[in-house]
Amino acid sequence: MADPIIRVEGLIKDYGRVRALAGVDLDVQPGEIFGFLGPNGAGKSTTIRVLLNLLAPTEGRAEVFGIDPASDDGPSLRARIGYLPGELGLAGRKTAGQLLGYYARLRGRGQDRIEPLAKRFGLDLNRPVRGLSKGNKQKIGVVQAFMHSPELLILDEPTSGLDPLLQREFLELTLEAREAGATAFLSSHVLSEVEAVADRVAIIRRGLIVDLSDVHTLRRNAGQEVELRFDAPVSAAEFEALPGVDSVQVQGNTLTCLLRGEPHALLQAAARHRVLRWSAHDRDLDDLFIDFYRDPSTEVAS
Amino acid sequence: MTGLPIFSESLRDSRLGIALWTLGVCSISGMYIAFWPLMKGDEMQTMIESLPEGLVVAMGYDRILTGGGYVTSTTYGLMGLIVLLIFSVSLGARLVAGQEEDGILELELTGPVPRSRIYLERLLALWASITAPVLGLGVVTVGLGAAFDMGMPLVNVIAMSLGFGLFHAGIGTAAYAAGAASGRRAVALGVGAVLGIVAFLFNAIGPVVDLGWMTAASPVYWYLGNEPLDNGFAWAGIAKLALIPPLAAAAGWLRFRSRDLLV
Repeated sequence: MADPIIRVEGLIKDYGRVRALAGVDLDVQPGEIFGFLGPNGAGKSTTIRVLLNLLAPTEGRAEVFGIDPASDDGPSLRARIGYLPGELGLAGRKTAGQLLGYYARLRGRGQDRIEPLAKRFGLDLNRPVRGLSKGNKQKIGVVQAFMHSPELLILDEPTSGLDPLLQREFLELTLEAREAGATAFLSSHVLSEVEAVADRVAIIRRGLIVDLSDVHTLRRNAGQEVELRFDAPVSAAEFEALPGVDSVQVQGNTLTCLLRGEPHALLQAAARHRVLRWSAHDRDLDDLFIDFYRDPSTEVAS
Repeated sequence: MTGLPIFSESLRDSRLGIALWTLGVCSISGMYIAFWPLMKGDEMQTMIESLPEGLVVAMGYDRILTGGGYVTSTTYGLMGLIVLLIFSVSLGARLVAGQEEDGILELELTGPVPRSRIYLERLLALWASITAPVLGLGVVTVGLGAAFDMGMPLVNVIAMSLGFGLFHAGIGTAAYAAGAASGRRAVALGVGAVLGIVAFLFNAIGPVVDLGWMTAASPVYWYLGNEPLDNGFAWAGIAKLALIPPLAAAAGWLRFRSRDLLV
């Protein structure tokens, strides 16, 4: 395997007495789109800000392109990154075009891509930044992140404020960037948003990575929602111990449960009764995501 | 990246503010100076003698009987001083701390620019911004001074402007540095305002309460104590004033270079 583009090891970050990151480990491989998921306040932006040398780690380390972001090579490292902040602060009187022109000057490239990208996202370059809606400001953020064709995109909640059409346009743009050889690190609190484009996904919760797997594995782990209706009431205990079966609930003649893996054991147990009706459907990844958010077993000891 | 993009952009951002403050300080001072022909008569002398001595000293009225003294006590030591203090402190507080709080700094800090360069170019923008109203005030002083025959040679106005400019650069830089060190606009404003007010009060009250150290410790006294509009350059004061901006800037940098940003 090639050297990772981003490598984070045992990253701990304390704000005073509050622990924001409790030992984050992750690696992002060249050419992949890496989804970084977690609820608000889980530590996504903190991790990203360490990668950009806005924050210094309390412990552990982070490397981007094999370079410590805090080292003297930080500026040349950041020249290879396109960053879209989670909360974009944009200055007043200037027009969108002037502002983007300034960022192009700072980076020494990208001026020529401002107009095509703005056109693609329907951004009016002549309007002052101050009066722009959240969505339009976000467009400026997207344009400035992509305009210098960076090798690595670090995108913090990139689609917030964009309408569904533009969200799709944005994901399209990210895929194009990967096609051209770029790597993308995409944070979000909505799994469905990155599901379509991400190769691997890390889920962060209370400053710890609670799961890191490719999207297929994640989907397999999401399991199925199964509903069985019998001709007579059944006892939940009969099903609870079955392998891969979880969250058994019985209401009268109807049993619902969560199934991960093979359905064989569940079907055998059900067959001991008379089954009148059954249904099974794949769960959304968002359901799984909510499990991770809620599951007390992944609680961080503080 | 060529030239000083951050410097020029910062100046461009605040050009309207700079123009308005320059206009403001020039009109207020111009108005004061325009009263000079009415002030120099015997009636004024009589009025001042009728005031309590402490007040006369504190307000600098004891020197308003010469043209230079009058401009010093009304403008360079009072209205111009206060107006430009507000300008340089608020600008110094905004250039790092304010824009950091607003998140505007984020895309600059995460660009391919070292932190040192952002700090330095924005500091230069602050100094350049302060130069404009100081120059404007100097031009007004020279122009009206000549028109009313106030007896202030150009070189004396230059001497006053230099000290006055360095004073504002110093307080503005202190606000800038405090903001860069703390990331809080309120801290920056507080530090700048307190330093400016203390400098002003020490100079005003020192002679009244007869505490020489108070006067001697005031940067306001450093630039106007020697009455440069009457007497020209006084290098000792200017040397002291020239030390403040770089020292304050260096102190702010020590913290800004490695602190957590945008938190």
